[in-house]
Amino acid sequence: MKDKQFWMITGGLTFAFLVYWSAGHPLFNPNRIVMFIAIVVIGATLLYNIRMAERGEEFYLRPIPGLKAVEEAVGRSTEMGKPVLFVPGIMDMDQVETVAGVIVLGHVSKMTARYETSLNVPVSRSIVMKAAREACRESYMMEGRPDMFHEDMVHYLTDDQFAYAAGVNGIMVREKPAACLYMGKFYAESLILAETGNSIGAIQIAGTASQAQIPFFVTACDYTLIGEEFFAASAYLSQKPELIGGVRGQDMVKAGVIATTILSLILFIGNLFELSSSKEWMDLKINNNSKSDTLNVKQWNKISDLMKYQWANNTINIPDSSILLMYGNLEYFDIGINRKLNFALETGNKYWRQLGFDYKEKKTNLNYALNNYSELNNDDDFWHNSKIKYGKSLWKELEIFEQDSLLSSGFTGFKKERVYYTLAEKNFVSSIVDSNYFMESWGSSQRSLPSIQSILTVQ
Amino acid sequence: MIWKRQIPILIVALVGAITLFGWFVEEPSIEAFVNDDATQWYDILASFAIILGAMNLIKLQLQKIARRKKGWPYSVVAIFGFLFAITAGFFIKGVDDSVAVWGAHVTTEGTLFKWMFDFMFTPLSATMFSLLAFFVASASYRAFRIRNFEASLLLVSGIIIMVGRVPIGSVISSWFIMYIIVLALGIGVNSWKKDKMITFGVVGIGLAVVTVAGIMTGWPLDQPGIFYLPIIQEWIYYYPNVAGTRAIMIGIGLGIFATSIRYILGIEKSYIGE
Repeated sequence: MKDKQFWMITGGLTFAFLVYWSAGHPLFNPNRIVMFIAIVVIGATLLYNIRMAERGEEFYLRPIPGLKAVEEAVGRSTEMGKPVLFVPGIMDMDQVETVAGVIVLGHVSKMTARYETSLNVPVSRSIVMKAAREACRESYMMEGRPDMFHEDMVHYLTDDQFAYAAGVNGIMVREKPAACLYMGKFYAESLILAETGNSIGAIQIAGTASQAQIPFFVTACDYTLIGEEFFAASAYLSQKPELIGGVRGQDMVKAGVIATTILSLILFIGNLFELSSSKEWMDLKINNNSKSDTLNVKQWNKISDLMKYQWANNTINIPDSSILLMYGNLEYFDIGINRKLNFALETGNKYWRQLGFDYKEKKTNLNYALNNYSELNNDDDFWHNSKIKYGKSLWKELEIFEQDSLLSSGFTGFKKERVYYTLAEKNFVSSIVDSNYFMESWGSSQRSLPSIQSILTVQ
Repeated sequence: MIWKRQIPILIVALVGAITLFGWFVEEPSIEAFVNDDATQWYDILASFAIILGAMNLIKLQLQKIARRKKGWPYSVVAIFGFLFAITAGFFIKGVDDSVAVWGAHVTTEGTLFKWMFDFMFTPLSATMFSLLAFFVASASYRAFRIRNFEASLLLVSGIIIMVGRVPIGSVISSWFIMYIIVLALGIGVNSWKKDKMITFGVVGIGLAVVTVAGIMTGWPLDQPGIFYLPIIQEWIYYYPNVAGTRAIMIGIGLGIFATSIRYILGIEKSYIGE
């Protein structure tokens, strides 16, 4: 594609999208906007680098020992007069790893055609068999050796995982291939295959994105393509500029991810994420900490000296009697901040800094909603969005003291049942579970109230 | 040529684009296509394709027998198994219709197919799976051999994880670990300085410091926490391990995305042999 065409298409698509967006973007799922932007940015980065490569810019591709060794492995098979065994994983063509495996097979079969070495490709899925056959056929044709290609070099064994492993192991033990290549998606059979290959003395190269299998391949194989290296294999083996450009694009995105991670870390360490200037946030922080203190003091006064020591020190150790005596004389507020935090973790009455970020954010937003309830009471969008965000369990999310504060502030003059009724009207608490929870929280005496009964009946 | 080149590329690009961008569209028919229809089409295609695989299997096994190739008796067993499974699946139920109708018979007790599954297939699969235990042992032996710094690190981490995760790990005092560390430090200092006096000095001071600290604090089993095996293993498991795993996952995710984009845009054409 020429530059002019490329920019015309890109510009046209961008313009069309802007028109669509300004027209209210009908049918677009707004909850996935972040992912959409990420895909567009990553896609654009990849395309930009591919264009650069096509225009003749040369990119450095880090040498990948595993891919360099593929030719070496085929050469070794040729010298020894033994076949090359290629295993494209046990999954179907709907897995990208299998597709990547078949792509590598295309390159490997070119080498086997060039070196006149026999190739054996047992597969576990019929569609993979057809795809792998086509890839091999094309490679042999391109190398000018169609006479060497025969369909049965790619053959079906079985769909079953361990039956397939048994079949491939049988081939290995009988034919003793000089090179075994495992490229695709693998599960528990990975080690069975790789160890058998190891036992027959074959040179082994594996490539997979199945994370759990990578350690097994690393242990049992001579070379392993880990994750992205496997997907870069096609670019590496073909040396096509457009594919190499794509690999560079990946690296650019990765650099962006690393930069974002470091930036997030700095923001996190500096507490810059905590929106500490927000009034809701600060109020909650103070309330939460004082609530934790109150509950922890109660707990502290109830438990034995040994438990005070163990909980405060996060230990299971039983100390000397002198240390125990010391803890017996300590008030809760006498212990240091770290011991307080340890204690709070044990009791479950955590301090603000011990809460997860999601939880903090949720509590802050809820608090905001409650503080501004009078304004938001008739704001259907707010209730709708909150429902989407927090599900139907707002009431369950509120702690008892928050429910009390709700009653004493936002709902001054409202009866308890009216609060629930209002929430139910907004479809905020609408399941039987929520109703039961509400009943548990507010006491069974409320059950006689007709409004509550009607809500329960309707639900 | 258009049927073997342009048309497949067009189909891949079209279906790929619909599947990718359909994820962002709130339209029931597109959502249904992305979530259900596309995968069901694939399943239907794969079901028909199984015939190709089965025919290929039979053809190769028959050829092996006819040509008396090495290991041909195994082919006889393979063909017998194939025919037996077909017979049990399609022709002989082994029970009346009142017990199980055709289709349900594959999971009903007492049928020939279920018998074959329970008493032939399952034990054979389990046999293969159980080989894994031995292979894990031999692979671990190779991985844990101390050859270089990384292998040593792997060995130490492996031992900490293994011991820290079993009950005995929680009764090993952190002071015992500290003594071991002091001794290991002695080995390190000895191979670095190669001086007995310095080595004994370091080990002696280390042992004394640990002993004095232990006496002062009452030898708590799990204190200091950084030398307590369950805590060390948890740290290794949740921090360095997760960091490495996530790095690989990000690479894999990008690799999958880049491969998919190359397919959708028709840049990668290796699957049709280009």
